[in-house]
Amino acid sequence: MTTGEPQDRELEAALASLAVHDPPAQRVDEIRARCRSVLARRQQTVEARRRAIELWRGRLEAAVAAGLGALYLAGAAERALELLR
Amino acid sequence: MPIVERQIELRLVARLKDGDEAAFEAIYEAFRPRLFGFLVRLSRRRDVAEDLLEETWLRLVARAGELRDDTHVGPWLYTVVRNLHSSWRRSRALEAERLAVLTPCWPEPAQGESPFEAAARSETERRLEGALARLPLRDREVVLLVGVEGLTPAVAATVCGVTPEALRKRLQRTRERLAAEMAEPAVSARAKAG
Repeated sequence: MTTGEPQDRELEAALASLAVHDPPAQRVDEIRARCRSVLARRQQTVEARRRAIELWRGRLEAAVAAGLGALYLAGAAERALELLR
Repeated sequence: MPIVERQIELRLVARLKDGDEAAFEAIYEAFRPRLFGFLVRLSRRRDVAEDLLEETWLRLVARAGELRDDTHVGPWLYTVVRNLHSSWRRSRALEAERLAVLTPCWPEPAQGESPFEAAARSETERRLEGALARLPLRDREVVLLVGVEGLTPAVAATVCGVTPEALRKRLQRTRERLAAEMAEPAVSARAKAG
């Protein structure tokens, strides 16, 4: 930002050391609370979605297992009938 | 000097994307005062700065899940802050246009005054705050981003949506103007401030 001249360095130093300010404490807390509320709601949504996915995954796995089991039994029954003939 | 060391920043972003409140708190504490100071010096109004600051943080948490893993939180926040301030100015200009025929019924801050002048810790700081407040907005924002907030010119150029070369030229011109004003005797500087 500067040419290195003394007055430039002085200006640069003065700018860099300007006081840092904060809003009133109550406002700081209000903003924090609103933001945490948004984060919490978002977490609840993510958690609900995860539970729904887990539920449907469990149902799908059960259905696939039942289907495979049925196929196996059908195949076994067919072989048994052929043997009897 | 970055406000937050890069590796820590990456971990905070990853945790914030997962909704980690502690990560939000760390980022909030690290950047809040600096963003507020930037907003007050940019807008020259504490009440506006507080409202825009709140909107900035709400946008961060609302969009936390969409952040890129390699997001630089500081420039992201300053960009949002700057854009919100631009929107506020546009809406204020539209409002002023609509009310141009009416007598103003609410007090406006005097042009070129800084809310931080009264709280300055020294005469130099008071004069510098006043000089910053009197700069045209486009010049004020670049010297605030680079000189006060410590962004590199390249990053500040991204925040402002200009090329690095354009920003450097504007910065040089503004620095010369500020240096000239600060070199003036205090009496004539006060007269200029009105």
